[in-house]
Amino acid sequence: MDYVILSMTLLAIGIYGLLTKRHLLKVLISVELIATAASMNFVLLASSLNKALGEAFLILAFSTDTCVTGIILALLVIASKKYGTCDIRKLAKLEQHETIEGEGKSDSKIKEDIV
Amino acid sequence: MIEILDVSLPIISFVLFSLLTIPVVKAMRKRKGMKTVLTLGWFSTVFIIAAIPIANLAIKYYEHPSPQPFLNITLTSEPLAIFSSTFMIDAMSIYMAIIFTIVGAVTFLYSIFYINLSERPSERYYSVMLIIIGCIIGTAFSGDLLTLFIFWEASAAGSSFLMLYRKTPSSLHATLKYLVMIIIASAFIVYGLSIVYGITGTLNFWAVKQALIALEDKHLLVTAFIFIAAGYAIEAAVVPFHMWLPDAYTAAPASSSAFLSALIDQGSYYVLLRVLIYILTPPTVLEWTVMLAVFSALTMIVGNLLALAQENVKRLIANVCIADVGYNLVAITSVTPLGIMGNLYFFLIGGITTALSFMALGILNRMGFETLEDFSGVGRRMPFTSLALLLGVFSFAGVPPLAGFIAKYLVFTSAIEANLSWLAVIGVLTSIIQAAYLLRLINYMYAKTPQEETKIKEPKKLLVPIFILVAAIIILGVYPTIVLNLIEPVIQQLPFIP
Amino acid sequence: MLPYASWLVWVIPTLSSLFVPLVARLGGKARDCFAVIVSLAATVFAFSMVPDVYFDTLTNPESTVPWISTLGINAGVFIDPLSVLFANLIAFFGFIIIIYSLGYMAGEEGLARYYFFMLLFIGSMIGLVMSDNFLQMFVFWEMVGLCSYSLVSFWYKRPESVGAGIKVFLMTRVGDVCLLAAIALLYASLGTFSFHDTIAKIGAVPLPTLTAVAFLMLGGAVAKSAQLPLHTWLYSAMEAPTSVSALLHGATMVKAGVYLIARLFILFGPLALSIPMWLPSVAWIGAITAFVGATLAVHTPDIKGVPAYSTISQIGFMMAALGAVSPTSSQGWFAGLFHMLSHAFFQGLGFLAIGGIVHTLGTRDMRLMGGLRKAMPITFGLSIVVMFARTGVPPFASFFSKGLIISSLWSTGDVLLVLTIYAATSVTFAYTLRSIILTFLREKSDYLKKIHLHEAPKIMLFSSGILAVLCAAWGLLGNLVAKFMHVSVEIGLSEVYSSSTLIFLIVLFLGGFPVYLTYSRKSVLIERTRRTLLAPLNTVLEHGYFFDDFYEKVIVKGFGGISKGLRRIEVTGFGRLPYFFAHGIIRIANGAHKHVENAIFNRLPQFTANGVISLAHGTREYLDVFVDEILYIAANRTLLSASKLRKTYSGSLQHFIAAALLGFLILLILIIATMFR
Repeated sequence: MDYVILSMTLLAIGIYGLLTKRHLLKVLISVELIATAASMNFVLLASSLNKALGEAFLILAFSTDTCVTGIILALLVIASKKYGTCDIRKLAKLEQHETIEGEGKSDSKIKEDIV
Repeated sequence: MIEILDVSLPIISFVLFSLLTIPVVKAMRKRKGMKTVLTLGWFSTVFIIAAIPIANLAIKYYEHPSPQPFLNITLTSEPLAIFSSTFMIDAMSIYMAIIFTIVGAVTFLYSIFYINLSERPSERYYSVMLIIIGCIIGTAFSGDLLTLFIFWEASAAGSSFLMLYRKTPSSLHATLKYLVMIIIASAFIVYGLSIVYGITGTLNFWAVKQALIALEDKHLLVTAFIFIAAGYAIEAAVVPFHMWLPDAYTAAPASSSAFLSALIDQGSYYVLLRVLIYILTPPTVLEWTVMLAVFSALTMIVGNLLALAQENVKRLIANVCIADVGYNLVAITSVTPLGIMGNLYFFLIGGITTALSFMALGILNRMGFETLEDFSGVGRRMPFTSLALLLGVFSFAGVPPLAGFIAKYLVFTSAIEANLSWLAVIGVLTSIIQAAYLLRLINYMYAKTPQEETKIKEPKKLLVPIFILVAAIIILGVYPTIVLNLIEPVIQQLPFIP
Repeated sequence: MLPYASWLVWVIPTLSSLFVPLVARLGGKARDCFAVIVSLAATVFAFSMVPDVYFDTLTNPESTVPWISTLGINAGVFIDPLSVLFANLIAFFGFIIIIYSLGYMAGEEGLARYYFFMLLFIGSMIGLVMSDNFLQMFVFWEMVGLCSYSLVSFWYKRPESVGAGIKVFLMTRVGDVCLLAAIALLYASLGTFSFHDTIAKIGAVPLPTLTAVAFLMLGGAVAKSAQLPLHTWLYSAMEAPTSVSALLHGATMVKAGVYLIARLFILFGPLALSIPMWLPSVAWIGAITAFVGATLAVHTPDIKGVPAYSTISQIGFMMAALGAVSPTSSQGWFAGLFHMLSHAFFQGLGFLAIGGIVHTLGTRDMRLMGGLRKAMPITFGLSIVVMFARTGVPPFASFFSKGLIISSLWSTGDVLLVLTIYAATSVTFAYTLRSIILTFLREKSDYLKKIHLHEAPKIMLFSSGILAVLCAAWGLLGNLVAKFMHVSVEIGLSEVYSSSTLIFLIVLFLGGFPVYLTYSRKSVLIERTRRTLLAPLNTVLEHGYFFDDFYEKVIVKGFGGISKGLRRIEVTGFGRLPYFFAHGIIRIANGAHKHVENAIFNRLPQFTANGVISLAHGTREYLDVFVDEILYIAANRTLLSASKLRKTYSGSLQHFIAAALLGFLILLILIIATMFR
């Protein structure tokens, strides 16, 4: 039972972090906390059942989680290199100015190739 | 007899080819001439070779009709079988695999022309696309919750690369939001699955179902259901879990939007359908129909009303995708053979139509037309693209004889059959709203006077895949039997549905 | 019957329409010939079915081929007097109109498109009446709508045409949805679409379902046939070329509703009489539309508006007659259909004549016309024929049909209904006379003196001539038609000398005399009355009973408002509300910030009041207040800075998660509500 409470707490902390933190890295940590909470629950129930399938599942689930984490990390690197910020709100603001400079420009270049 | 190799060969071939694609495309880029022809040749070889094992599987499956509703195929032999992934083959998974391959091939053709070949990371784009097709076919074949989860997460996470391709701030932001939502969803699902596993001690579809039917105290199951349903609802973009979808589809390049709406969207409905109908079958296992009906009504209403307010056309179509989720949920909610049939038909038609619209929008966006205001008089300046968009839009609105009509008709009739007339009424009313805003789009395209009258040269290559899909919606609208015959065996295999 | 005539009659025009663009490549002559030949072929096939039905020698009235075999749905044709009657009318009328178009549309741009849609229009309308099941019928029903949409906005460069096309499509779509719902309901209770099975099993449908089906189908017919309150699209559709209008009014589109109601009587059989309030509803909708349509026609200054409103009114007559079916006789049913035929002829003729005028003058405003009698004598003659035929002067066709309608309405015993119809008849004469006086009889206007006037082209007069002869002689064939329809109705030619004729003529006179005084004599007294006493009535008529204003202001604006509000919520509210929600929970859990508490307790009453007001008004301004109020309660600096987010076009990540959590909560509540009862 203690473990269930622990995993619930982890979940709550993770969601709180997602709701309040603005830095990408902190968002990432919150995401990891949620994933850990879920995994912990799984291990818990699997061990009580005494079957190996639970652990097998967990290893695979971890691997997908890690992949997604990797992608988010990559995004973080892109964001900080290209736009010099890791703040998600600032990224959202960048969005407004971008339609003219960003995609528009590269598109007009491609337009010539296509037609 | 179907062996494990028969089942895994399509997946393996897609993954293998996706790895091979990177060096091949790189080599082609260095050549001077014949680039397009060679690329087309390479990718058509890929799809033909991958289609052969699927055709083989379908033939083998229908050759010896088995008494069971499905075939369970494990990776390893008996003693270790509980550790291994399980595949399950039934008529539905074969149907899904076939439509994923065909629709995937057409959208792929579009991306070949849309994404510039000589641009640097384009080989990765194609490679990711192929791997996603493989994973999503894997999702269709999976036989236990673990395999389903792995394949589905792989394709959902993989699709973030497609959104991110241009690396603009908006796509970066949208992808980030998408990924975080996906990971929350997967955490919820794992949480729910852990409880299911705790109750039943297994993850195999059939075994879980049997154990759950025998279950007496359902409180824990309901807790698990909440987590699983919320998780898959995020991935399928059910309102109010939908908010990532318009951002993601608007920020992605058009070819990615088309691909995602045609494969990932339909795949997520499929997963929802599989879990809800095949495992948590109402009413023997869990009675969730009323709850889902509320969500489907919410999705239809909010999706359509939001679309009504959009000025950006791509965002409008993205909101139509959300509304489509609502119509699909109507069919799932009815839990009747007719509903499942409508659902499976809707998967195909919805995928084709949204893909078609995004493809046409891709061309129009290239020329600098983004908002409704920009679309003024486009009908005269770019007649072919506009015609395709017009037909796609009519199919959305459910105008016969286009395919959207039959799909919506099946869905609404099934709701009435299941005594959910109020849901059908909401569906029909929202369809009227849909007709209203889609006609507004047409009004802009054809009735308003453009700022300049000059005709714009339309890229002929990009129009080829678009018109393949246009032909498909017309043919399937006039003669839906072609697809309904494929769906028929699925319905026969639903003995547990009243 | 020619072999496969019942199939070929609609397959030929539908499929050959696809070849029009190809044939048009060969040249204008080839394209015209092709259209004429195809429509002629349809007419021949349609006519070949007549003897079989007349002598009742059909062995096999249905033939089907598998269509959607998985659902057991077949495509097929259903041959009975009703469908053959309609098929003949449509095919023949289509043929006449195609010939007329050769002259009327000559030299226009985009003629390949025109003939493509015309042939498709004719083909799908014949397909509609020949269908043997509801689903097939519905597909054709929609195709008819699509074709009329495209034809109404044929001159797509004129914004009014396109706007009118969209209006046609949207308003008739309301009816389509009703029809679809009715079909689905019927399918859900019978498990079949086929007419044949429906007739056999209809007794098994519970009465409430049957009632719902019948009323929904009536809704479909009301929208398609431009009955009150969905009639306004028909006037807008006048933006179409006149030949299209003639086809739309004479044989296709608006007649589909009449066909549907007439078909329902066959499908439901005697059960149709047992549906509560259904027959009176049909009759009263018809009667009121007949009167309202006629009064609208009196006022319109548009020469094409007269036949437009006239059609609304005349279809009202037909509906009234269809609603007057009684258990003992099907006289009303036959009267409605017979009037439908005579209406097709005189209205078609009316349009063709007007088409000639519009073609020559280049304007549609009757106030600019006058004194055309000398310049266009043949057109004048045709218009006089139209006037007699439309008002029902004996022995023109509609004299007999209107007589039948009135006598069948008498048999229902509803005197008010009969009086309404009499009033409508009277006004019919009034508006027709008015249009003739304005166009042909009074002084030549200044506008006309500048134009060179000439008679319409020969080929256009040819079509008009055929229709004029039919208008005059059709009534004498009434008994033959009755026998063809297998209805025991006797139309006595001696009725001309009866007392009812006298009443009829008196009624006509009552309507015509004031008009004569006003427009021809310019009576001062009448004019003054019109200016002063009837001024409010004038305003009402000018705005077409405010129907369009209602649709424009309430429905269109209302939806726009709702969706705009929702967009605001998407941008601001959807973001903020869950945000507030999440923050609130966290704050409370953290140990109650005094600030928030203060804000809640101090601001709560004001917030509630504002909330109520905002709900009551539901306007955007108040929605803003509402959202701001929520913001204030949260009273959080970060939130206030987030109000800059108003302008961003996509939400931030936190909003998404908060919304998802909200959804999770809804899920939880629903589960508790539904599963643990």
